[in-house]
Amino acid sequence: MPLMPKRVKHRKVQRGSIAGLAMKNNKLDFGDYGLQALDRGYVPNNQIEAARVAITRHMKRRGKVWIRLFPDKPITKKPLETRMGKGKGNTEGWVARVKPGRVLFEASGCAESVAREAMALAAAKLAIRCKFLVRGS
Amino acid sequence: MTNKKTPVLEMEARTKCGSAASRRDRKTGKVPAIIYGHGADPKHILLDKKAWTLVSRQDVQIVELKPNSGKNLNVLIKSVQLDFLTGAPKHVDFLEVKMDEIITASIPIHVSGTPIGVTQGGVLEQQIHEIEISCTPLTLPEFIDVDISELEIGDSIHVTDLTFPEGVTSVLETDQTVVQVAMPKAEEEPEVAEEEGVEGEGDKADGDSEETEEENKEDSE
Repeated sequence: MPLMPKRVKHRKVQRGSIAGLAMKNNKLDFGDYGLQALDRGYVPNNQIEAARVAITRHMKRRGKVWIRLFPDKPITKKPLETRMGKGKGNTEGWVARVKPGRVLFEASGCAESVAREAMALAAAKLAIRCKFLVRGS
Repeated sequence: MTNKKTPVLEMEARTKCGSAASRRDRKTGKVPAIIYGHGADPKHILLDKKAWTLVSRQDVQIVELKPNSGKNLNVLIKSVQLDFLTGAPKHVDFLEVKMDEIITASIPIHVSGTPIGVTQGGVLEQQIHEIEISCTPLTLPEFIDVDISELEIGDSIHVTDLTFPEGVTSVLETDQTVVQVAMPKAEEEPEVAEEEGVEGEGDKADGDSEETEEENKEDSE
């Protein structure tokens, strides 16, 4: 199943704002290593899944991985060659809103070099700049 | 767990407080800080950023602050605020202590060794990275060392299993897990891929049908 909410109160939502910095979820809370966002933007569920797969494959399913973001915002799109009006388009995907400083993934139970490489592979799957975090540094 | 020599930091009194003044101080290479404790009025101070960075890299809890005039102060590093993007120090809280009084402090837990369970395919999970202890500043250890080399899959170390130096006691509940070696979870990736494919097709089909409906409407108009 793709990452998306099981049930939502409203099928379509307005764009909202992602201004400011991540004032929470900006530190390592679970693992020893992490990936922190440096940009703001929408991260779609397929990118989150691709990054998760990249991390778990590089760590050879050793250790533990935490996904610290969830795509809870529906994104709508009008069909191609459709005239304007006639209401809001259909939900085409789900995204997570990310502000600078947000910790996206955490990992533990592996060497730092392995975690660093795994997070670099994951960062390459995301459309935002990221940096690697180590506990205690 | 040895006690190193207490580092000495020079401090100067801070005349202007507040976010704007603190921001200006940070730009000039200073770190705003505060000293409180023993029922006295809090003192707003400034530290040299480079000196503080050198001290913060060591695993020290107690620091000696040297003012421009007057006696040196022994203080406990209570909390440190760091910029979460750059890692630069933003503010430091110090608690003034007497060297013979009982204090509570949070110190890191260092694990050493590779567990037997990890070599057998288990996953090492450290639940607590810091532990709150109660002791005098003189007996305050820099960290608690935990030997995990004997842990097998399913084994765990609790707070009661930790060995503290003499005069040091834990404030945490005794049954709390510190480290455990768990069984790795198996993943089912191929199934996920299949399900994704089915869902994607369903979505496309829905979209196509709506498009054709709208096209028909436009044609009729």
